[in-house]
Amino acid sequence: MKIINLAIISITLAVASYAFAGQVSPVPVFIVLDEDGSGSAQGDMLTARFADNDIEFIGCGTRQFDAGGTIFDFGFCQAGDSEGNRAFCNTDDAELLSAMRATADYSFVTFSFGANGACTRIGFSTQSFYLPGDVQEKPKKGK
Amino acid sequence: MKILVAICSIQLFLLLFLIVEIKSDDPAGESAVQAIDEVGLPNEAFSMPPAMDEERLRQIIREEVGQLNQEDRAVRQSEDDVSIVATEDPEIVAQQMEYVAQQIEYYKSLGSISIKEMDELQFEVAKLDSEGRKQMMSTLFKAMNAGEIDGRLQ
Repeated sequence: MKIINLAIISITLAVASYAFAGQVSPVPVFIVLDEDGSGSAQGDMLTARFADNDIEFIGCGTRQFDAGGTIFDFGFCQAGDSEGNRAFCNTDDAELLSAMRATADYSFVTFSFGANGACTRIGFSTQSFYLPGDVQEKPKKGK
Repeated sequence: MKILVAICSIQLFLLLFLIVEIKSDDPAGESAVQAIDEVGLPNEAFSMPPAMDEERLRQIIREEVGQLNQEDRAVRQSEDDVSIVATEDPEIVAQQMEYVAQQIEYYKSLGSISIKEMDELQFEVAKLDSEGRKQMMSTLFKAMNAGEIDGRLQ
């Protein structure tokens, strides 16, 4: 009886600790490609990075080239899903570039593009449920 | 040995004689010294205030350096003007557009583009004017979205 009680308590504690671990919401890369060449993509970087394949990815970046008197400043977003579909967009719009530069680690990324490959929408979200699921050690007393 | 001693004695005698001659009969040297004394360059001619000298010297240096900087800026500006003009020259832009378009067609024929090739292509696109860049980037990204070029940006 004592063993059964001990087992029940142990299971209860295990479930309770999991309940207090925080919400996790992985978003695998998802791409939509329309017939006219436009489309969209979304996904969180962490899930893409640790997907059980080597083709899934998502992210954005910027480039600046000194073209001898002028600066070629452009940004891009790209994604690849588990089925091998890929999506790319580029922009030289200053505000979209500013948004691209604001991305953080473990972000959720979403973007849309027109038939000409130009980004029409870029979104980032940094939430706790996109963070790695490893439980961090509680800080020891005195530290 | 005796000959050697004799030669040394003769040399010594001649040296002594020469010294005596110089000391006793040297009107040119003494007169030259006297002439310098008589001329007596006035110290006042070279006694400008040190502060004025230094200040004037600094001013001259600043003027010269400033002039050099202006000339340098003029040269750089003319060089920059040449590069900007070259980028906006319609004929050159058209040639560069054709080159970039050919490069994209080449990668389409290959079906793929490496990271390094992508960087190099972007550098070529950067040499175009604003409209040309948009057009070529659109061509490239459309090809990638259509699956005609397998690649990605780093």
